[in-house]
Amino acid sequence: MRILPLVGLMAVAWLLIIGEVYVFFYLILEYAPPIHEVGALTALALLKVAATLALGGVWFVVMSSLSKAYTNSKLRNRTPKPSS
Amino acid sequence: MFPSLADAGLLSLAFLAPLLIVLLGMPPFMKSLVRRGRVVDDVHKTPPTKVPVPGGPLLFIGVIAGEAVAFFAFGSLIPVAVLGAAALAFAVGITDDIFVLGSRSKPLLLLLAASPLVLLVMLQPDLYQSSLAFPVLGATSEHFTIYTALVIVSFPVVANAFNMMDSFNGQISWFTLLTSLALLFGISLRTLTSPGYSLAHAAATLPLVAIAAGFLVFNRFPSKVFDGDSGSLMFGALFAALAVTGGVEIVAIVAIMPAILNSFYIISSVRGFVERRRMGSRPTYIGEGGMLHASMEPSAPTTLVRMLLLDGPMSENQLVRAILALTAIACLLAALTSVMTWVL
Repeated sequence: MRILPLVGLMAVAWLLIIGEVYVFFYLILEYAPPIHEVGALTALALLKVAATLALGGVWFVVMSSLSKAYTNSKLRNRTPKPSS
Repeated sequence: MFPSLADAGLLSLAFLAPLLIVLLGMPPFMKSLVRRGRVVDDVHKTPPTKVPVPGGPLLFIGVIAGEAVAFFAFGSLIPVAVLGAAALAFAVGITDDIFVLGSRSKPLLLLLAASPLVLLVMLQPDLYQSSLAFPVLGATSEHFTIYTALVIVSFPVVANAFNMMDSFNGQISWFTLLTSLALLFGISLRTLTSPGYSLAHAAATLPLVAIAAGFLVFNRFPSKVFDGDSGSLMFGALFAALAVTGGVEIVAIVAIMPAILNSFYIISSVRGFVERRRMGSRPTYIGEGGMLHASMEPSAPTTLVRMLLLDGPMSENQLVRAILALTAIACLLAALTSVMTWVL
């Protein structure tokens, strides 16, 4: 039974990876508005890089927050409480 | 494409040749390692026992045999590219086994393992497709430059993820066997449902399944031999190369999710790449009766093993079984992803 919370973490990581790879390949890479100016194209490229980094950041923040919450809750439960 | 009887015979040979090399070659190879003093303490035993290491070179010979059969049988460059990637990762691993590489130089050197694929795609353009096959939605459009960059980065990530799953008796061999079976299932399903899709993909995958199964005989609890970094990095590079050439990247990511999470937790909790032999505080420790305990220090690195042990101590065997249960669930999710991608 102790693997159940970790299965939950794995399921969240799975959904995030599938979702984010979809957003990257189907939305970010495919986004091509009808612009031709060099400045606008550069801004679009930078925007795509920023969006990709944001996707990575979301995965990092969600997964590290979940693992920290899990570890801290287990450590709290196993730390002996002072008797009154 | 459904294999003919002759194809089935050739596929069996690509499986049996590496399997027999590992099964028959490992006992004398272990003896020669012991004779040359290449043994390490199995620190999870009380008192520690001596175990020969590295078994990686013999596993590599098995891969050479299996991929050679696949190449001559199906005449594709896929087994050559897969073998090239395995050879480069093996070279990095054996160097690390002998001299101990730095925590940053190892991932950087592993970037080179992608080079056989990137070079050979120029000779055989269908070596890999620069798109991803999504469950239900189908394939994305082709993005050669971005996809190739992702392929190069994936090698150190996957090889290190396998390397970090090599801590306990039988862990790496079971993990590789389960995940390679999930990969083989995905590739086979794709082969059966896609007309004209070469059997070379399945043939190139069989040697990985075979060496993992053969190695399990000697590496399961209590281990008689360890693979060393030469084995675990090679397993990871083989897995990555087969996922890319087989076009089953999403399935592969899902199958090795426990390993990806494990490396992510380690890297994020120690804030960067740190060689495990040089970690300040240990995530776990061995208590009475050889039971493994989680470190209660808040600053200890977070690993999958420590997270499992936070509920209470476990024996090494119980711990490996818990990790394998997680891996089995991930592989079932991977199989489901395969069905959703190529059947639905």
